[in-house]
Amino acid sequence: MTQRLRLLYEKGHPVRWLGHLDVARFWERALRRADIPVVYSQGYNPQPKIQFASALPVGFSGRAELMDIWVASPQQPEQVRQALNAQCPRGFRVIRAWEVPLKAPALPTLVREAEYLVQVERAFLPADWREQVQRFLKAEEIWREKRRKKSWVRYNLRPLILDLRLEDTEGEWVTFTLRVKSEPGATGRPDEVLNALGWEDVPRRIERLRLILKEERSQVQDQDDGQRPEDQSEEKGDIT
Amino acid sequence: MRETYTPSSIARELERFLHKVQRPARYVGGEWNQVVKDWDATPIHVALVFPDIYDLGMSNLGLAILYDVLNRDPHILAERVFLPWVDMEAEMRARGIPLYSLESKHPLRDFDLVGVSVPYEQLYTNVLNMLDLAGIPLRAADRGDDDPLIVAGGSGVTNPEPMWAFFDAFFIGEGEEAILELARAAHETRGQPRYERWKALARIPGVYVPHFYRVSYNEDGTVRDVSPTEPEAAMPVLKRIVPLLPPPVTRFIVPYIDIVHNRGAVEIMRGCTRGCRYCHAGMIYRPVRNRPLEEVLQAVDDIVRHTGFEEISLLSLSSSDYEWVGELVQELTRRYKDKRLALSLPSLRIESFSVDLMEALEGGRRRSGFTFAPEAATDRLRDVINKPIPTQQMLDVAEEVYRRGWTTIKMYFMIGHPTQTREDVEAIVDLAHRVLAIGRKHLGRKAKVRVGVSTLVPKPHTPFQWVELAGEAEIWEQIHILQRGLKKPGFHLSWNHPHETLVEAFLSRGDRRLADVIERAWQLGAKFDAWGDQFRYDAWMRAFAEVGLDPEWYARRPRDLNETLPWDHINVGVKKAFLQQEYLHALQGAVIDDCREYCYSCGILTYFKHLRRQVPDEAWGCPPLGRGKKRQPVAPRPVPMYVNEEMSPDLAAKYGPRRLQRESRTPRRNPTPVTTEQKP
Repeated sequence: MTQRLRLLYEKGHPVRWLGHLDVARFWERALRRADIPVVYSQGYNPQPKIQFASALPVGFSGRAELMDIWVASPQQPEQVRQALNAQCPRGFRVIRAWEVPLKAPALPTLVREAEYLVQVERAFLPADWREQVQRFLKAEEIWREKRRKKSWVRYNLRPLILDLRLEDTEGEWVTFTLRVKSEPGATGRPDEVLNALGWEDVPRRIERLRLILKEERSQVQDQDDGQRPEDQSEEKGDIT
Repeated sequence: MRETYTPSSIARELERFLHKVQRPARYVGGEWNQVVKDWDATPIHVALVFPDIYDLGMSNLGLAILYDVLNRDPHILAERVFLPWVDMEAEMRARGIPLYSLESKHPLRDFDLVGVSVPYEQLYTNVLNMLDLAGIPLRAADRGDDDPLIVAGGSGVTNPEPMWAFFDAFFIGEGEEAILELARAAHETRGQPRYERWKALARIPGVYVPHFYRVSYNEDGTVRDVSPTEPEAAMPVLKRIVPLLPPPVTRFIVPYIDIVHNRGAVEIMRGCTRGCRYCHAGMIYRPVRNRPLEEVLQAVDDIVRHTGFEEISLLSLSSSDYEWVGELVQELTRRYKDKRLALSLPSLRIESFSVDLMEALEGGRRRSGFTFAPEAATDRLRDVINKPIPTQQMLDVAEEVYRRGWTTIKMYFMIGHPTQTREDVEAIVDLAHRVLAIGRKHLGRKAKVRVGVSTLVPKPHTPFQWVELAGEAEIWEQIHILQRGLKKPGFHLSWNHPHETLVEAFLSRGDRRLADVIERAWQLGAKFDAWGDQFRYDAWMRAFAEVGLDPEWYARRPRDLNETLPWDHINVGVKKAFLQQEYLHALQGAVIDDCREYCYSCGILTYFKHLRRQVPDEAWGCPPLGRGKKRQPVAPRPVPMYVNEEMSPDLAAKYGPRRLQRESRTPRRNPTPVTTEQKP
């Protein structure tokens, strides 16, 4: 009997350097190693039935990522969590697993917003970086280009940025929190914000703190409460 | 280097710019099954380098084997080093970051031993780039006592001479046992004068320390003599082999990014008994050693459990000839029928049994193409290269392939074989058309034929080592024949550019003087020579001109049978007399049988008889030795099975009509006894 499980997991160091397809392949193989009976699609080239809430770009870490897996026989979510964690190299960790109804809406359709922690290395910032940020926030239109298959498409980045807040200016890193729209066709990317500020070459750490889902806010938020950006100190400098 | 980097400062610096390079996961390690040991608590430090990018290096089984062997030893740590792609290299150079290992981020300089895997010659310039990026002097003679020992191994250095100046030593043969000896020697001699360290390496069987040999030349530029200058230097250097295949690797590092061969692999057999005359691997990996069936099955189970790979490849040079191939496929399909594990069995012979094997493996699911590698398109030319598969048999198998629903047949050919005529090239077009016609009959327009054509690069230690590379104009003319003939729907043709072939040829066949050319070409920008978009023919030609050598002389000069070849002091276990015989046979169109039928005394049992006696009869393809063993007919000089009538009418009559070479799993019941008196 098929069962649908939702997993809340972490993508940290050094696996933040993986792309979304790499992350998907990693979970497929970890599930195989853990011998969890994932359901496969029918057809010519069967694929394991796994669905991610939202792709996380190369270089971004994620503190509370979400995916659904479909399994062929009922599993204890906690046992799945432990079995998978036994197959996770450094950087990946399943925080929580729970069952969701088979008929629940697809995860990607639930995502509305995303909240990021963005840190940039102070030594590499221009002198007037504060003014740059102010100008960015005051602008009504910030036009950027993104690649759509073969062509480049112009889009306005500014309305996708819901909130940009300076959290910490002490120490080596300047820390922002950023809340962006994250819906199909309207997704704000933190690295685009840095590029729009002209900070392409500034060393950065970008972490998705949480995804904000429609109607399911409580589930995700429970997990995040009590984890504030300041807890990041352990990551300093080492990606090994 | 602008500053001295440590593992933690390298890791920290990487974080500053990795977002700007393509596929940064290549450069950080951390994958499942990676082995990270405590650097300070582990005395011996070995870096294993594949001198190309991660995507290729991580697909190399040899490197995975050595990583496994070394890391099993508690006193040794082995870490991986690959070359950065050009974008990453630019960033590293701009910041002065030295080449580092993925596991601990230690600079390459910090290791005792740097083992470099060189499976093909197009990696030579990358080796120089590797040393430069590591801040290690390019030439072994310029290295300090504190620099690591740089040792090469692999099928790309069976002629070590062109790279002689850049390596402290070369290892010839199979490294599973010797790598431990090399690691210990490198560690124990650390801090001693380099010359002493070389002596310690030279004492290890299979090791060639080029600085301990003097080469003199004749006036015409050919090698006059190679002689050892130190008592430690072996003459010749005989390759090392392992008597039995060591336990297979089952804890493969599972890559995150999609690499070239993103899968597990089990070597089911090493070596090949078929004796194709162009084939380097077929000569240098002798003898045939079978891995026991039970061990292969266990390895497949373990790999799935340890890695989660969705595909496992069963590797050998000629899978159909694996002693228990039928049982293997049967058992694997039984075990993994419902487990969604793709199994691949490359290098199958063109015979109907192979179609059955493929069908069983694919289990009616995803259908890949079917590959034929006849290498020549006429029966006559296949006699010359000793790969006598009759054209009619190929067509029958093609019929079977298309009939059972595969839509694509890939066919690999070589052009430029000795004695090749225009008709032999046109026959490639003709054969491809006949195969496609069969496909059309069964599948209509869905049927496809892909033709891959490479130019013969006559390799050292093969019967074709005396043959010249075909002329450039000639090669172009042949490619044009193929292009014209296959410019129709249903065909796809790919070929190697003659310039790339030329570089491969002079690097394969060169002598010590090429070291200057390689270094100059690298300075002029040559690197990643195997990557079409990075290949710099102009740099090579300019380097030759500046050094005052002629690439044509190295690549396109037929060599005299009496010439001292630059690699004659390296012995891969096959006697020069055997190769000469086989070269003469090629010119006569004389075909010799699979050497499980007759032992032709190629040299393996001469040099390794003590190892043959240690192992079970069925472990090797060679006949068992010793009292009471069932002896196979032995022909000290190769005796043809038949001789091509067209090429040598007189000889053909003597040996009788064309006979089929042994098919897979059908050992001949009553081989004709051959006595030593019988001579070709």
